[in-house]
Amino acid sequence: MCKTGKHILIVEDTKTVSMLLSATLQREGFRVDVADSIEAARQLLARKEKSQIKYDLALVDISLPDGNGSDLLEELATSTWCNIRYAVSADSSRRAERQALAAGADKFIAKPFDLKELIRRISEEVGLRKIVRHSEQGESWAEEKARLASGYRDHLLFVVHELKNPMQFKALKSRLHQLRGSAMLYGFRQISVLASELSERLTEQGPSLAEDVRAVLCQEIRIALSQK
Amino acid sequence: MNKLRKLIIMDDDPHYSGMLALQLRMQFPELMVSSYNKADLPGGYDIYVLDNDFFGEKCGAKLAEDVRKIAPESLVLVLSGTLEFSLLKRLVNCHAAGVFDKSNEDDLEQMSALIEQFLVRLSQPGPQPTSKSLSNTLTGIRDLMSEWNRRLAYEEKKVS
Repeated sequence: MCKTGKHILIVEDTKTVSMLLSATLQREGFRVDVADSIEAARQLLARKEKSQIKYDLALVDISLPDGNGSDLLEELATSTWCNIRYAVSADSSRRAERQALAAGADKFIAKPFDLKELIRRISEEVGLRKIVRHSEQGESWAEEKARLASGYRDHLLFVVHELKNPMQFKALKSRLHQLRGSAMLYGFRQISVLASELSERLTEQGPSLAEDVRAVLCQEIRIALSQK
Repeated sequence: MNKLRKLIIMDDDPHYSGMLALQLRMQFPELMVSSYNKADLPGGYDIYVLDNDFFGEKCGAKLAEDVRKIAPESLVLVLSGTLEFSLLKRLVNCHAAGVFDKSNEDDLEQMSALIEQFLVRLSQPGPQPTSKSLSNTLTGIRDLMSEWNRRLAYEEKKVS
């Protein structure tokens, strides 16, 4: 039974490894499909395409009987049928890792691996994916833009709250630097320009100006939020 | 099948990197764009966009140098509000392609143009010019110097 709603594809030709992984992931509530070759994986992907259900994560062994797993990783990375790809290999060299990542793997797992740690990583990755990776999520660009803009408004409200209290000089400088860039990208040009000016004045005059800077910035962010 | 190209934005502000990632994906749909808000370097990317300021620490040059060690053929772009001589020197030495002001729309357009040129070059058949070639180094120095002069002119204008 798929309790998590997440689908995992395992491409591994060593039966003991695939059975162990499959059984453990199923126990954790994942739905698991196993392929023992690139060809078998392609057939499963074709079936998924028909059913319009994506794999949330694929674990691909690099050494497979009918070819190199990197080729499959490339295919998965350029398709929309698998969101996250892990490469698994007995070759733990930096070169093997670089090749797997260049082929489109998000993570490289060297064999032998710690099963408990791998399951923890998979659970975390499937849950945290939206924060780290900005790629195909079934979300349109307009929807993503709206979500980011809404998140940024919340962030500005948090900054207003933060600026009400004294903060370290370095933290204030860093916050101004961040606002200077991000406010411009989100269309709050006046905040970006103000943050730039305040940052320069703060550099020139030092921590004695910090309280005034916080007050001015706090007020301007409130005004900008009320106008937009 | 064309090889998938990957870009990573390393910036301590997830709001900035999130929106920049979206804009870059809209402009280059063939590119896989990720972001990372820590200053330790992940390998395996073709293009690195590095913020110079991480939580108040200026570490753009160090990151650019580290990228060169793990991904010698990659395109390295640095985001910075200032361009001190020490930063410029280190960026030239590690063949960074440019420094851009993250709050300046024209700068971000220039950065996109460099990404486009890089992707076009990668898609062409035959041996690729490496980022360590002499012509690339000279182009990098020329671009960085003109950027530095532009910044100085801007600063002088503000003072006068």
